Amino acid sequence: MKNKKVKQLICSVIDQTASAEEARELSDYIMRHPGAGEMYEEQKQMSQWLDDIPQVNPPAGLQDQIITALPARSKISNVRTAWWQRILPAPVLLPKHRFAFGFAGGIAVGLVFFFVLLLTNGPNTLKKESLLGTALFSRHFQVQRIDLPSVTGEVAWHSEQQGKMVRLTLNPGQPVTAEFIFDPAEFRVSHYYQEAWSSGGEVLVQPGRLQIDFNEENSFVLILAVKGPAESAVQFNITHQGALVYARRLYDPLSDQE
Amino acid sequence: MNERKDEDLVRSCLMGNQQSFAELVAKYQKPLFNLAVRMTGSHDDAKDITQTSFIKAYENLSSYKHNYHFFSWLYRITINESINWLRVRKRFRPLREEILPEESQADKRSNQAELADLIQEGLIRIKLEYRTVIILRHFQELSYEEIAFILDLSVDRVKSRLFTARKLLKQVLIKMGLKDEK
Repeated sequence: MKNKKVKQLICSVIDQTASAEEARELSDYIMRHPGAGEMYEEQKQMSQWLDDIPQVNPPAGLQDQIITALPARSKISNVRTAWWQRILPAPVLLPKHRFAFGFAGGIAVGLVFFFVLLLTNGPNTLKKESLLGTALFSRHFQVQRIDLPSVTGEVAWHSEQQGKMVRLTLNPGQPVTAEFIFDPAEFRVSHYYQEAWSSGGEVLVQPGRLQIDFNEENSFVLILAVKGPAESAVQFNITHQGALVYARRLYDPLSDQE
Repeated sequence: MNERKDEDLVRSCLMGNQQSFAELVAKYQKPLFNLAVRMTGSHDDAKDITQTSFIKAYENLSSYKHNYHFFSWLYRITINESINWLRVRKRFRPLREEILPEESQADKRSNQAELADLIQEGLIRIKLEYRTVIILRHFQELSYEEIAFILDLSVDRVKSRLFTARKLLKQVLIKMGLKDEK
């Protein structure tokens, strides 16, 4: 039996609030642990001494003094008290609880602030474009502008669905190969789909790699959903005629270098 | 303690009947005074604390919620008043234990009254959180549930604290010269 439980049982038995079963449990424990018996006797003796102390009588006339003091004080109380005093009357908290209430208050204010943001930004709250979204996602999902001769586009955080999604928009103007390379142990392609797939183009999915081949007429948006820790990097490359013309690392704010 | 009666008196008082509050004062002045005496160790100060507590209760009576006991609310006010008083007192006076030499207490314990005095001295020397739980349990005879409500603790926590409080008080009394009679 834990020490804490023994103490609580001793208290319950001494103060006669223990059930018969609890009393038996303590008795059995004391039989096996003489130290607990000593604690019990000490508590019992102290309890007896405390219970034997007589009550003291208040001084004569205290009641009259209090009643006499009331009208004068009540006039003061008629003065309009501050709104926070009306909501939270002061003298009901022990000082040691004030910090806890202050802390809880801080959490509550934080939650209110969050929900205000949620309401003011609507469904955009958790998107990169929102005030909160910028703070939350900008480090990990920076928009990567692609500016190459005759190739324009971007790789960006895609926030219309849940999960980590990369949105690739590309207007190549020439045959190129775009590929995402990642550690298959950390990331996997959960699904992908294309928007405005004009013509042609091939999508090849391999462990740790997603490749899209397209000709100069392709103009499309590809949504790639990945799962993995935010700190891990995904390499994004564009090659033209076998030569690497563009390379970016995504998801890794510390090594977000070309 | 008749709770229905207390609630009726509070309602009546809120409707402007000051005589109802006088009845509450008559009913609770003794337990509140005792609470303050045990908390502070001073009759004079306990008198002031009791008076201030009743006045604060009167002024804030409209904020009393009927879903808990009136006397619990009153006790909370008195405990807080006592704590505030002790804080101010600590700032301006040396501690009682510094005033009373320990040896002088040793021979005093010859009868029940002297033991009571010694225990009161011991109470003043233990921490407020332990002092309060002893006072509420042994001098006010409140249940664990009532103490838990007043101190905003769980019942199990009250029991653990009470155990520690009695143990600490015993140690203090022995330090003050009380013979350990095991």
